[in-house]
Order: sequence, then structure tokens, then C-alpha cells
Amino acid sequence: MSETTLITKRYNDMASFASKVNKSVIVFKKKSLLEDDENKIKYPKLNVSVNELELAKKNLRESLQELDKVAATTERSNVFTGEPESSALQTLVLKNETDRNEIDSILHSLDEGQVLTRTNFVTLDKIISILDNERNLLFKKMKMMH
Amino acid sequence: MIPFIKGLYHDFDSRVLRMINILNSATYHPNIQKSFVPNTIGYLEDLRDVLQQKISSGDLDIESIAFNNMSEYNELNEFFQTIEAARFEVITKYNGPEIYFHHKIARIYDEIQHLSVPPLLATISNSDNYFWVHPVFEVIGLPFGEENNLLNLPDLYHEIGHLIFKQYPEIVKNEIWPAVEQYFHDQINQSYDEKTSDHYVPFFNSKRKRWDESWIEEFGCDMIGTYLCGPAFAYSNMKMAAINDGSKDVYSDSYSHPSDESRMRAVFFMLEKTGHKGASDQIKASWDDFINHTNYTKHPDYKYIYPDDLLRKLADVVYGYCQDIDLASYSDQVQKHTNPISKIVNDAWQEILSNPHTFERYQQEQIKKIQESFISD
Repeated sequence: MSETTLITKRYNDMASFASKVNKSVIVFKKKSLLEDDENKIKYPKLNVSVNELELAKKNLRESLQELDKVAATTERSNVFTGEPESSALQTLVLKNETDRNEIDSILHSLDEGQVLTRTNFVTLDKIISILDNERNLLFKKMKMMH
Repeated sequence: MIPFIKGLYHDFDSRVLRMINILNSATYHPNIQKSFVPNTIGYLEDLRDVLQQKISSGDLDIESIAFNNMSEYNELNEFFQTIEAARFEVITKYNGPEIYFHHKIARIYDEIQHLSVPPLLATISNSDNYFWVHPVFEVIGLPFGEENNLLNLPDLYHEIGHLIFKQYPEIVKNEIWPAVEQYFHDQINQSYDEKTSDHYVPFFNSKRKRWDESWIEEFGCDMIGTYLCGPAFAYSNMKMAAINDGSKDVYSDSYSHPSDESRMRAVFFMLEKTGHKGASDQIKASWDDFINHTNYTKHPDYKYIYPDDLLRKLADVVYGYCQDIDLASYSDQVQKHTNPISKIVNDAWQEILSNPHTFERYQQEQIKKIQESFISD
């Protein structure tokens, strides 16, 4: 397999993972907005079906539990030593105790069927932002190679 | 922010529609008009459905998900750019070389008895990256001008190996993985006994991970390539190792690739397994000679990364896998087809080694004969 083939495969995996997280978060944010009746007037099309919510819960739960595995694939080699280096996902989220606790708290809320909080969404958006960067980095590499 | 994001989505939708219209308004070569073009339009229409749904859902008006809408936009836009590069450009530039490779890959698939629909081959590859396969769109990219060469063709059999792996992704892995895991488990335990675990545990864990995530498939595709293409695959692999860009030597590895030295050993094991011991010994002598003339240094820990036992076992597994799915080995192809593409490539390698001065003329004659065989089909 050429390097291009592998980067393409990794890009597809990362894009699919990041998309799953993002779509789930959109559903939960909309669900959170629906808690306030004013938002129903402000956004007349705002709606979340039971099926959408169930799928988002399942996907978000699975994704958060798989973060360690995904982080392992984002490891990069140092250009000088060739040794593996931690990626942003590893250093900013998984090795950060505050973020770790926040992820556990989100998982707990999902299990208990609780509405996610503003702090939960800040952490989730941070994860999405990092996944976006990882995905975009792979995309740029892929484009450079083709 | 909201009007800006809405504008981006509408503009994006127009661009996708424009590409669909371009594809719908022209007639392309029959080789691609039947399925490749309609499938590309299908991908674009699916993308357009997503965009239209997003636009009409009202989601783009919600401030608190503006960030998420942008994230989704970027992902979809990358998908669009990928369609543009891996399919739209292939369609609009489809010409002589692609037509030649269309017939050639069909002939190869027939000769190796692979029942899947052959992928589309396009000369759109950056030559630095050689042959590559897009696993989702099933396009194999080749360097410009590759239709004039024979010696690199074994690499095509390697890329076909990736598509075969994709069809049955877990069969080889499930068979070899227990042996890989046991090996690294034993090495780690031994390092504890010898009180060298501080150094060796991270080392073995890192190498085991690479075996798991990419090296098994990489070795496996080299072995499928050897099974299908015979000794020529070893020569081609040796060429690839020799012309590396200087940033790595034959003992260094990467996340995606095991070392060139270990890949050559893997190829030799498969050559022996498929009854080409004589050729294997001959090429191995040449390879050893090549290594002796280089100044590459082998790290003392190198010997632990790719033990012969694991590579030999992997060769057994891959051989059994190829037999189980009825792939015709190089020898089978020669027996059944007399002069299959794989034999033409092997003969080409013999010719360049024996008569390098006249090789180019020989090569062009052989390519002409291949082209003539398409016309007579």
C-alpha cells in the first residue's frame, strides 16, 4: 500500500468518526434548546424525533468510549527521530484530567437520560474541533499526495 | 455569522449542481459511461440531498449550532473535493492511457480469476507516490506515462491485493493475529525477566500496534502480489527499495510500512511457498549484494521486529487465503494462458537484466502486442 492509500483510509475513518460525533452533538444541542419554549417560537422548525435522539445517544456514547482508540491512530512520527508523538487529541483531551472527568460526566448524563449542560457542550465542541483539525490535516496530506 | 454560513451552504449546493449538470450534458467513453459516470453522479446527488436537507431544515438559523454547521460544511466540502479529484477529473481526462489500462486490468482480472469488477485505473498520480488505490472509490492512480512501462506493473498486483483485502478484511488478520500477539507477549515477558522492560515494553507495544494497524495488510499485499506475479514482484520490490528517496534506509519503518528489508524477506517466503525457490535464491543473492554495498546500519533491536517465524507463518496464511478464494497463482496463469500479463512482466525483468541496451525497444514491442491482444478480443 502506498502512503497515499493508507492516508486515504485513515482520512475516511477519521471523517466518519468526526461526523458521527458532530451530528450527535447537533441533536443534543437542539434537544437542549427545546427545553425553553421561547426557542420553539424563535426557531419554528426546531424538532428532534425520538429516533434521532436514540441514535444520537448511541453514537455519542460509542464515540466517547472509542476516543482512546481513535487517539492512538492520530499518533504522528517525529520528523527527526521517527518516534511516535502524541497528537492534540491525546494531549489536550485524553491526558487532561479535567477533560477526562468531563467526558465521564457526559457519559453518565447520557446513561441517566439527563439533558446535557452548557459545560458538556463546551467539551464536546472542543473534541469536535480537534477531530476537525485531525481530519483536515489528513485531507491536506491526501491532496498533496494525489 | 448566520447569513455567512447560509451563503456558504447555498453556494456549495450550486457548485454540486453545476458538476452534476456537466456530467449529465456530455457523453463519455463507453468504458466509463455505463457505470463510473452514473455512479459519480449518484455520489453528487446524495451529497446534494444532504445539502438541501440541511438548508431546508432550519438548522442553519440556530446560533448555538453554528460551529457544528461549519464543521459539517468542511467535512462535506472535503468529500466534494475528493469526488472532484478521484472521479470528476478522472472522467474529464479519460483518454488513451486509461483505455489501455481498462483493457489491461480486465485481462489481469480474468487471468488471476478474480471475479470482482475491476477498478478504474487513471494516470493521475503524483509520480513520487507511485501507485495508490482509493479504497472507497475503487480508483487506482498511476503515474503519468505509466502506460509505456512494464517493469513497475507488479506494484499493480499489490494494489489489487488491497482491494482483495478490503473484500474480506478480517480473514488473514484473524488467522495470523494470535501468533503476532503471542510473540510480542513473550518478548515483553522476557524483558521483565531480564529487567530491560523500561526500554522494551514501549518498543514492543509500538511495533505490535503497527503490525496490527497496517503491517499485516502491507505484508499480506506484498505476498498476494508475489503469489500472482511471481519473481517479477521481488525484482520490482527491490527496485522500490533501491530508489527510496534517501529519507529512510532498508531497515527503517513507518506507521504505514514495515522496513524494505523485512518486505523482501516476506516476498522470498511467498516465492518459496509457490514453488519458485530457484528464482528466490537468485534474487536474494542479488538483494544481499545490494545491501552489502550500502552503508545502512541495523539497530541491535531490529532483529526483534519481524522474526522469520512470523513472516513464514503469514506466508502460509496468505497462501491458504489465495487458494481458498481460487486466485490463480503465477504458475497457474502461465499454465492456463501461456502468455499472461504476469509472464510478460517476468520476461521483461529477465530482458532488462540480460540486455539492458536494447530493452526499451523490446518493451515497446511487448506493449504493442498487449494492445493488439485487446483489439483481437
